[in-house]
Amino acid sequence: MDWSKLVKHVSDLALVDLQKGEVEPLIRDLEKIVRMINAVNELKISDDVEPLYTTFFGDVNLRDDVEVGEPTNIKDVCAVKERIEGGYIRSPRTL
Amino acid sequence: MFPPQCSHISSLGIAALREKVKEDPDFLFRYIEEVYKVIERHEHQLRAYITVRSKEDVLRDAEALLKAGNIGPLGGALIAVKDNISTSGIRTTCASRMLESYIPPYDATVVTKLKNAGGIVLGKTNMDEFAMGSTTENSAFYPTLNPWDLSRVPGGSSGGSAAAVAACEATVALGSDTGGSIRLPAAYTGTVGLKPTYGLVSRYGLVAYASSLDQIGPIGRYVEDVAIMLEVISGHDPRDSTSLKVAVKDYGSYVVDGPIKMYRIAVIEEMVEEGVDRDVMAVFNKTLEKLESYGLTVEFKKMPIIRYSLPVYYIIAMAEASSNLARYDGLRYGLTHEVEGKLWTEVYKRVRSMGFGNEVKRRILLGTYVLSEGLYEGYYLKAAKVRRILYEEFAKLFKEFDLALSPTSPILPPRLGEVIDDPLKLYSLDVNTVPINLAGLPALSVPGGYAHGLPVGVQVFGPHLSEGWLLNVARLIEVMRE
Repeated sequence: MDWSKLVKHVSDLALVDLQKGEVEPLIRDLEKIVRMINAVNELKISDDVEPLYTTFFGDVNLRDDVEVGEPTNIKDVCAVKERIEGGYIRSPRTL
Repeated sequence: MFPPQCSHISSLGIAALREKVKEDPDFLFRYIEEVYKVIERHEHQLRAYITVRSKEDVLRDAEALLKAGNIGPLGGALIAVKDNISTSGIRTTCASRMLESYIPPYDATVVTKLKNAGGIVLGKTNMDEFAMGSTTENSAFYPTLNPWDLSRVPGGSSGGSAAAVAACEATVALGSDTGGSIRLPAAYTGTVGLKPTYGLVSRYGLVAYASSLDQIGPIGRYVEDVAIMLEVISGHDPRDSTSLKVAVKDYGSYVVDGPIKMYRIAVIEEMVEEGVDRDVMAVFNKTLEKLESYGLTVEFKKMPIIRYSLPVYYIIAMAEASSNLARYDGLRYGLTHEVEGKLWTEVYKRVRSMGFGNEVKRRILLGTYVLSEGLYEGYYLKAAKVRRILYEEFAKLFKEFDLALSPTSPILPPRLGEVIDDPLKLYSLDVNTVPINLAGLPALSVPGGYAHGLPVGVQVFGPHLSEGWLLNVARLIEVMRE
């Protein structure tokens, strides 16, 4: 496996920019961890086993579908204060 | 037995504090002064906190509590809150540069409940960044030290909460537990830490790491304190979509000095076989012998699937983390960066590169890897299937037995730097705690004894909603140790 390529690919997918000095130690660690998690491949599991994604088996609590009014506490909701302009959150102009 | 930082007054439990305040309300001010004295003397070394509220603010809260005329079940207890739990107006950093200056506009449900029950938030505690770690060395700010031996770690990721309680820098604390993050630090600091059944305690206001595994729970110096705290923070919350609709129990009624039931206790052989330190096993075996002397039965059982818990846990936790942490883009909250005129991917990547530490980046990348095209079936889906098998094995076990016991950690608290550079050594500290989260079971760690002057934790776990039994057995272990 070409670990440098893999790390580049995965970091692009995850939108994490890695600095030069970070790549080598990361590759060393990832090799070890991937070897550890590969242990699940030793297990033969029949197709009829249902995957378990949660251990919560109650009724999922959904909020009532009610109309939401204008927010009144915009300063509290947006923690990046410098983004607030005239009561609105100013999104950055990116390319 | 407490570490040297504690004094007589600062080591009081909730019930004793409440009684003293009932007799003499001014005692609460003396207690607060005493706890702040401990903080002033020792916090510069321990570094259990990220934020400590000013004494004046805390005294003001105490005054308001006494004025209201109802000190509640917590009686003015000073509460240390892990820094991934939202506190209105108090910085909540997750020990990350990403949220270094984030001040939430709301309280987590657990914090609201504690305040309504007569608790006073004292400060926010250090932790592994975004709760990813087992030693509290992964904090972006500084590591927390173990009050029993300052050359050792307090465990993690709720290491600050556990160290603060152990050193009497707080009455009790809140932690969060995704794979052992309450129980491991409780074991390493000689405190009692409980991870509730999944859904028993609201997660509203907890910064998400791995949502199918995360739970908030209490840490205290006494089993009774943990029972009182659990009673206050548990219960249905419509703001948490996975909150159980169950009645709140009187957990204090289980904290009695004898067994309320002749428990049949299982010991899973795979949890005591490999890599468990001899000193840890000696304390564990002694605990089993003492429980048998109460007439409880102990039987060893095999559960081979449990060996796969660690890889399954890390696949699932990292996959969920990579998804949960995608929200940190520097636009709405947290670390921000000059963005005008740049590609959005460039901005996003730059912010995440600057804001996340190494362990967080490692877990995000691995999570992305196991979820990526062509690998999803072999890793994530397979892990979810093994999780199902493990869940059913536990269900079978608890048809035959009431509870199970294991050492919380296979080793004594490591020295600073001893495991942090090797991810496999670090992850293996969680080997006995992660299976519990995968199955959504309740579990606690209680000190079983001491080896070389260091506490050794015993993990007690059981079927869903068996917290009362766990507290009862933990109290037996506490009594035997005393």
